[in-house]
Amino acid sequence: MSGRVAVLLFPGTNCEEESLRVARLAGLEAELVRWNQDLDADSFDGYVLPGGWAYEDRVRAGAIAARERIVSTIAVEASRGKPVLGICNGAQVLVETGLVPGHSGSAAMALAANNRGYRCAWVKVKLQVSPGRTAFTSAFAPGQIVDLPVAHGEGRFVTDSRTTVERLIAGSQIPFAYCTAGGELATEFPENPNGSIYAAAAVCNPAGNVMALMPHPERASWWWQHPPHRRPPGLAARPDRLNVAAPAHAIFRSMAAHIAQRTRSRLPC
Amino acid sequence: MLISLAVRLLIPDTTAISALRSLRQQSLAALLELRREVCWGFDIASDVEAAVDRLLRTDVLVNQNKHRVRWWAGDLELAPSVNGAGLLHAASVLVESRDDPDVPAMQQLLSRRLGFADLRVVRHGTLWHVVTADGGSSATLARHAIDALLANPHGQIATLLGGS
Repeated sequence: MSGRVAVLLFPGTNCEEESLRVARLAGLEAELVRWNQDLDADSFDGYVLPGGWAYEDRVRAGAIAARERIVSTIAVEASRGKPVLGICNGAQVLVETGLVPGHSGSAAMALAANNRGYRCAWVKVKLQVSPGRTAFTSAFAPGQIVDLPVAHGEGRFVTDSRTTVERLIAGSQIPFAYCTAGGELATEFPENPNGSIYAAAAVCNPAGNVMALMPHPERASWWWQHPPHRRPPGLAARPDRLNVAAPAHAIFRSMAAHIAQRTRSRLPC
Repeated sequence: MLISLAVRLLIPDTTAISALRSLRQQSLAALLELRREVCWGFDIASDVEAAVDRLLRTDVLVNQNKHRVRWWAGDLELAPSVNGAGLLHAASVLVESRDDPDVPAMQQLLSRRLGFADLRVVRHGTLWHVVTADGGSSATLARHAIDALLANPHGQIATLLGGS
């Protein structure tokens, strides 16, 4: 094992099992931690906030969970450089805390209601930054396009601050964007499923160790999770080859590599 | 003519309960109670009372088995105070989402599916009633509650409607 990550469970989280499995597939030791447990932060090297409906999305998606004590602890851990990945509802929690985009101590963005309502579909996302930019992208090829499923009603990255937009662009804080089959930024529905600014599918903090990602890589990390028409040609005839990692799993492999690198850098020479 | 509807739950409102708990955990201990209403603003061209009666009978905005509704002539900001209901120290906060997709969706449902050709849906939001203990400044506390939880200014607009 190359590191130990906590997968957080809030009341209403429903993607914790998949998140645990894909983290383990990446060689990480993954453990479920409930929101009301005492978190032994020193024993974890990273955190995953999975998807679901924490607190039934009461008030706003992610709003109540973001104010829980355990999230404050994770914010401290993030400031120490530990990787924190929020997927879908977990992304909404990270945006509500302000950890993403991380320009101030409070929310500088919102994940607003989709401009075309709830959307459950497969989309294409493209790596928009150099692979080394974040803790979750090093295992991707530059400009790589991957298929991922989305399932959300509040996934539209917005901000009313022009400064925030300028900093997101200048600081390469949009690691993944929705794209067309040809790789162009998707500005229109359905390729852009929610109307996000700059077609943002993910936003990270300036240091690149915290990322809010709306699509679900844990639902696309093995080929058997992909519908047949989204598998590579020839794979349909080889069911024995479906149980191998698909491209989206690179997010978790990148996280594992980042943790391993941090661990090595802390070891005495 | 502009009219507004505010709909509240008769059964325990788990959203308001969770919000109250979260705000108290964030040091807003003076917060005694939090009430929530979902509100809609309409522009109605014809007989207002008849239109409201028809609206309530659609069972779209209100389920008579679990909701209570109040309505008034005018915009959402003219919501009658809830102080008259024995809440002596209450301020109200109206929270609306920018580019709220529920507005066109409700417009489409009412006009195309339910025959409301003379009605326009103009606004949708949540009306929070912030009730404080004796002597507390409900307006001040409501402002804190907005910042602490009730609205994300990057996707929502919060308007304080009154209070002590």
